[in-house]
Amino acid sequence: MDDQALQRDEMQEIIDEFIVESSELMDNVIQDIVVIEQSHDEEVVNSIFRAVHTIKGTSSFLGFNTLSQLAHKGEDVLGQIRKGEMSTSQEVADILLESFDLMKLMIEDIREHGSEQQDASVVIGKLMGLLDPSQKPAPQPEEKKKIGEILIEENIITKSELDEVLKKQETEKDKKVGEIILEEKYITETQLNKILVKQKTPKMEEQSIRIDVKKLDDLMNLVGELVLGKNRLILVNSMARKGDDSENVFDNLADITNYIEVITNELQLSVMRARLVPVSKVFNKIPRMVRDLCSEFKKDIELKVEGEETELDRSLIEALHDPLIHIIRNSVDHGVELPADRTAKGKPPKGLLSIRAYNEGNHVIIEIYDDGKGINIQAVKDKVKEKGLMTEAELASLSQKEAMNLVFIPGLSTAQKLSSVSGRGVGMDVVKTNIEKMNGQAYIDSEEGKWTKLTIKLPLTLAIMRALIVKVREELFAIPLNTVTELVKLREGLIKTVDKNEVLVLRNTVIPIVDLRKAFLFKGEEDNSGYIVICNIGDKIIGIKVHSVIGQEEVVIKPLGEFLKDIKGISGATIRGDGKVILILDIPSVIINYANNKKLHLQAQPQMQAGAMN
Amino acid sequence: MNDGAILQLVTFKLGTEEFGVDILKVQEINKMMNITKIPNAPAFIEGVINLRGKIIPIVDLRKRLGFKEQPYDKSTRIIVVELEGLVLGFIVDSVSEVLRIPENTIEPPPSMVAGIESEYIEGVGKLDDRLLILLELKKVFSSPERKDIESIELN
Repeated sequence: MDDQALQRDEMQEIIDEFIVESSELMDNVIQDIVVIEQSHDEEVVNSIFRAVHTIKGTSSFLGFNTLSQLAHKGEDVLGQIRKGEMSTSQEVADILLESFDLMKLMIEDIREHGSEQQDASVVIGKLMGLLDPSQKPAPQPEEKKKIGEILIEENIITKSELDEVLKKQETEKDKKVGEIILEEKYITETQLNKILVKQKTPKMEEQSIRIDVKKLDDLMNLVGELVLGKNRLILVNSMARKGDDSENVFDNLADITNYIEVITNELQLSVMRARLVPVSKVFNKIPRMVRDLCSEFKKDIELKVEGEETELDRSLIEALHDPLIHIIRNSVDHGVELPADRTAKGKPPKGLLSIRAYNEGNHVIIEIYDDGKGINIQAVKDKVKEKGLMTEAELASLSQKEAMNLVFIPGLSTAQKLSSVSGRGVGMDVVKTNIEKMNGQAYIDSEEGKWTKLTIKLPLTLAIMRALIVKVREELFAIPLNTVTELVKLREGLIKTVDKNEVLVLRNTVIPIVDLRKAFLFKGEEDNSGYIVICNIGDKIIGIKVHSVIGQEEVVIKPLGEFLKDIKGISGATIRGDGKVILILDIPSVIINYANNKKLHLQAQPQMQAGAMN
Repeated sequence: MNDGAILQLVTFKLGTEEFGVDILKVQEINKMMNITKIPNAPAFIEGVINLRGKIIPIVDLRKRLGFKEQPYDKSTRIIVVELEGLVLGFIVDSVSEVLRIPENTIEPPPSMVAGIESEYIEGVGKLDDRLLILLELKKVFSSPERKDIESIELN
């Protein structure tokens, strides 16, 4: 019995290893195919061949026969390419990519269910068709999970309701099933968006990472030293208990505290470093995606990717995936024009999409630039007005940049027509919220008709950040230090009132002030002492009025939990040295919250305003 | 006693009323500790506490059930419960004892008990000369206000 169990464990280990290795190989292979499609490179062809060969061998040894057969056929095709008997036309690349995608799915299945769940016969048929053109199979319709099916699985609509919707679609051909369902009020828009996301991403989360042995050794060393520190603490504790001469105890304690502080700092850094993963993990998927999107939209785009080696925390890399893909889709679909249009505008027919990652202090910046048609600011403004989100006067007071960043408002899409990849009007606001969830920032810059640049700024790591601890009345709050640019001590007359809003004029810049006391509806009298914390978010500057500033601290972010996750203005909490919980401010939402409160206030009491003027 | 299964309840007091919750749902009982207030939270949420490195929300049961507020004192306790994976605590005036009562002595709630809407009550247990109100914790801690707000936003 035990022997069998042991063997099973060993087998599982081998399979796990195979899954990790082969998914990595597949990722590389898919990238490489895109490379050889552009230009034939013998070295690259050979490396693809070797990778597929390895997968074929291991999978047949482990008994994953479907996978092995598929790999075998793929290897045959690659063999011909290697010998120069076949050229990598787009057709060949398409079929190879399709089969490698399928292999990836199978590996995913093996991870989850222990065996392949996909049927490879169609793709194998296509590969055979390449090897022997006379056996070319008839084209098969693409299988993709239909939105209706997903909805039924999720028990949101019933089968009969779906049938009705499908009947309706017959008459209104150009509408998507999702849109009709929405019109019929079977589901809400938020539900629909969730489903659409589900339809797009089949799920990808890595459960294990590879880590440098050197990094592990460093960690082990530090942990060893931590244990030594613990032993010393125990010793001091027993000294204190015995009533040892107190000065000696205190000296020792101070020494150990210092020692442990140094070690935990280093431990923290090492663990953080161990969690860092190069952004190439996400960037690698881009060439393939851009290639597919280009052929779908008949665009011609040159892709430039720089800074793949920039490192980011593992959890951030995963969370970055969706927003990044969305932005790129937007750029390809709405940004870069069709080759003919480009020529007409006097631009080179081939568009440029450039993606760049680099470090800036404790942050990673990712820029997505395209030389497409840019943002039509007037169109954005019109749309905002049409939707009644802002008044004419408010719009007029915006700077060019502020107006451009209106694209991040929920429910705003300036695209005239919808397409399968973007333009559902759920795009940019989701991107922004996702990035802000990671304590990052997103802003956009553009010149109409020429280019658009979207910048994402992310912290290196999620769990720990530097924060400024401030006091408002009796409560302490933490403000993420990455947003803080400076502190201003308040004096009489420094704060001015413009149009009922408090502002601070600092070096000729007018900075609006958010009074936390009001934003959080604390009771109590107004006073004008304390500090203003100047925060910079995107290109917005605001001042936050606080009573006193305690200092900088490194805080460990803890979520508030399911029950309190949607509290406006608060992004989480942290525990201070004395065990007290303090809240971490979510600066972007503090601003929104404050603006909303003010609006309500103004609408409710117009006569009060007149009174206050006197 | 006949076929009745035995229920074990932790009993506690709010004012003069005696309440009970299923002991299996109770994780621990703590003395009053430092509570951090949360701005913009639903009114009945008193704040959060640090429970050995985990942050959990605290509900003031007096506020939640519409009792008059009263300053906390030495006998004030926080009962920490786990509901469907969610850990949270609620403040009560005092904790009395652990009781074992047969399930069949519990009756469905009358329409009004101690001024609490009966939807929060799972049943009423009769013990000699006392009445024990069994709270339906799930209902007590789901927030109807929040659902209201969500449905407004969707329309």
